[in-house]
Amino acid sequence: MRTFRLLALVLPLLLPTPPVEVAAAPQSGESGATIKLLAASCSGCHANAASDDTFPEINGRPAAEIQEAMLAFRADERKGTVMNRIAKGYSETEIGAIADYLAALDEDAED
Amino acid sequence: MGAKGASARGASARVVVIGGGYAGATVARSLRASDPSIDVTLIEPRRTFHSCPFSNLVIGGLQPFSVLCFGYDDIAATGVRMVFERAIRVDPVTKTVRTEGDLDFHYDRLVMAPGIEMIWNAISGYNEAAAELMPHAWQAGPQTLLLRKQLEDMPDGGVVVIAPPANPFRCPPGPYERASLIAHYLKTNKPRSKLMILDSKEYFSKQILFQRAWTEIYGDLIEWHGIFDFGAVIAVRPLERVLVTESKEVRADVANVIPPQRAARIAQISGLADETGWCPINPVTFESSLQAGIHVLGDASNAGAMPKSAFSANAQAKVCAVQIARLLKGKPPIRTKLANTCYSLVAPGYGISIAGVYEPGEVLIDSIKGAGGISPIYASAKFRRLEADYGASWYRTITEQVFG
Ligand SMILES: Cc1cc2nc3c(=O)[nH]c(=O)nc-3n(C[C@H](O)[C@H](O)[C@H](O)COP(=O)(O)OP(=O)(O)OC[C@H]3O[C@@H](n4cnc5c(N)ncnc54)[C@H](O)[C@@H]3O)c2cc1C
Repeated sequence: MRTFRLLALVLPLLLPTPPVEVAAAPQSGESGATIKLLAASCSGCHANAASDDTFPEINGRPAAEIQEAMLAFRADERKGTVMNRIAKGYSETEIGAIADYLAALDEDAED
Repeated sequence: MGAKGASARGASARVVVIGGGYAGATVARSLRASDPSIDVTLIEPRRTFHSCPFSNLVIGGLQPFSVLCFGYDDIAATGVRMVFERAIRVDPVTKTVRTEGDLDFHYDRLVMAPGIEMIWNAISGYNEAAAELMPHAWQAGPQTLLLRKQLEDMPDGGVVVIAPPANPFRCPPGPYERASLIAHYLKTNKPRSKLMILDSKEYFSKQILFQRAWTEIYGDLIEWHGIFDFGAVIAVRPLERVLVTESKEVRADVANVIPPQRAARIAQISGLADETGWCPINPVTFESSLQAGIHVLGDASNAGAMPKSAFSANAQAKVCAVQIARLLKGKPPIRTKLANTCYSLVAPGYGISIAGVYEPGEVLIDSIKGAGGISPIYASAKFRRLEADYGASWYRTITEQVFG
């Protein structure tokens, strides 16, 4: 079920395909790698370093919550410090995919 | 001496990483996490890493030096082979790295992440010996302690001069965070002192935020002079502690000269840097545009719009590890986006930030328009405090993630 939803979200991402991009039929491995890369920058701050609880925990949080928060930051409907500026760099599709990816992560995952 | 270690391990793909800083240490661990079958060797001359992020807090007396020090035991525990030596030569034809101790390491892919070197004598008279009198403190370690000690020894009423270089250089907001925290120290302990910034550029990162905060918090303690005031610093006379600009001579009690920089030596002699002094790369894979099979990460690379920051180095390294793991398996690389956030502390409890989101362009990594930017110019004390807290949390998080 989850895989299906991930694929649906990632497909449009893969459409405009410059030569280096993965044009291959997105079996789950490929789309998984695409989203993992997209979410790589999140873990610069939200990284489950158990010692630190200043940054909101995002790994393992429900996808809908993350998506809603990111879209609200992007539209400046929710106040934040840096997330409003960062969310504006991602499309709705990308935000959906990242949210699904993070939701599927173990709360204690390293990244 | 014959090829060693990694070369003897049979069929697994071998990746050698040069430099155990924010970029190199991250890529080594991420490679192991991406694909534990990859044989990863990390070559780094020093057993203790000294972090530049947070070093301005040490210089300002807000943190002890120990917060900057990290060992490599936890990285070794992830299965990365640590080699505590300096890499002195790369042969891209035989795909071999030679170390100072005459060990050879064969690689299938090499990651070059050695950071920066100072361009000595770009400012006339500013060489390695001069840096012992006028520290740059732009590579953390003894230089950080030297600058701190000079500030402690300076009598009240002294003049501190910071001379930042033109762009591009390591950590664009760094000199101004440093000015802020030195000002905090002076205001608290030596209130008759002055801090003068003799800049080699017209404007600087987060300028409006820094300058407004300086006036608000430090009054007229900090004086910034852009290149149109006195011109660039072109020479120094270290024994007299004099800095010479195009139109003026300034005598300092403490002089912090931050000279122009380029990719570190090993990147230069391996044919990875171009005439700019930095290493051009493919914006998707970070593979060198000049040497196949070698990826360049962190400050040594020309990452286009991405600033030379530890945050960028860490994000690039995570992406590069996945790309390398794919390339080793014959899979195509994947385009992606990267983000960066750099916090600066202006005073205890007063933080500001700059952020950006990036994507590969035709040649370089481009900044995505409409995203990123600096903290709001008008913000509550609570907002500034939150950003100060986030800056400290970022440092704990990143160092735990990279070295812990
Ligand atoms: C004062 C200051 C404050 C900063 N604050 C921040 C901040 O708040 N946030 C932020 O994101 N960034 C900050 N930065 C920037 C950050 O320090 C750099 O961007 C970051 O260190 C780059 O990582 P790197 O791995 O490319 O280089 P480095 O971290 O410098 O690591 C390079 C490593 O390579 C090793 N090496 C060099 N030559 C060889 C060789 N021949 N063989 C083997 N190993 C070699 C070195 O010993 C070193 O360990 C700051 C910088 C300064 C100077």
